[in-house]
Amino acid sequence: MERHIHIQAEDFSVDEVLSAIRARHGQAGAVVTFVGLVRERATLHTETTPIDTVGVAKLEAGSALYLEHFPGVTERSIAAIADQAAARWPLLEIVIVHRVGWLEPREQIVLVVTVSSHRHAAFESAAFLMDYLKTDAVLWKKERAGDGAETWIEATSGDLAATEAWADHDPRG
Amino acid sequence: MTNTVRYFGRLRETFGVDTEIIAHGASAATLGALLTVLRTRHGERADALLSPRIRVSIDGEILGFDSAMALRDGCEVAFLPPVTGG
Repeated sequence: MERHIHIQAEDFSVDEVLSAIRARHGQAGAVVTFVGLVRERATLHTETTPIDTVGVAKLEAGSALYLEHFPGVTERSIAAIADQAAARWPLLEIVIVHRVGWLEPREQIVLVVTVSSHRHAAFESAAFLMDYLKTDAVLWKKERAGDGAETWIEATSGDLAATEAWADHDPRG
Repeated sequence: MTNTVRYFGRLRETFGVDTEIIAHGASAATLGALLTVLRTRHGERADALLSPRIRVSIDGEILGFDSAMALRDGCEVAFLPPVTGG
């Protein structure tokens, strides 16, 4: 199984990664690519109309995310996650690219690519990798709101539950 | 002995520094003793290191948090707040 892990400030090209995978593997029948994007932060507030009270999401111009890593340690933490996926599914290759530094809404933040002979292994392992990146990758994430306030964010209880749920999952190859 | 101390994420902001070199007496051969030195140096800000959710790595190996953990001269001690990626 090939494993390619990159932590970088620069953007990435899904097309280039996919072309390289197609050149490397004759046995690849399924490639799943997942791209995570920076969402524009929105604040939910309520507005009362003559008829009703409605929730309105207001986009915050100027919001952004900051990603920090620990060179060497971050790469090893992600390699360990990839090794767990490779132990569960018959994969030919895993590519993970995670960006760091300040990222604006609509920017690409993470790329996960899984390559297998068949689709189930590729789909399931890509979901597994993303769930584990949320909870186990050594990365720190800070959110800047539209008003400039900065908050360090952590994995949510939903993120932790998603990772734990894999313990009871029987892989489909 | 001398240790390099590194802070990440919100701890880096709390201490206002990402790396510092701490020279201290030979008695400070454990994580707990290093924390005492950091408390003297940084005052109450150093309490941020005592949360059970902070993990420590020594020379890049993540080891949880145990005050009795032995430190070698020259080793790098990093304090890691809770992580999230993706």
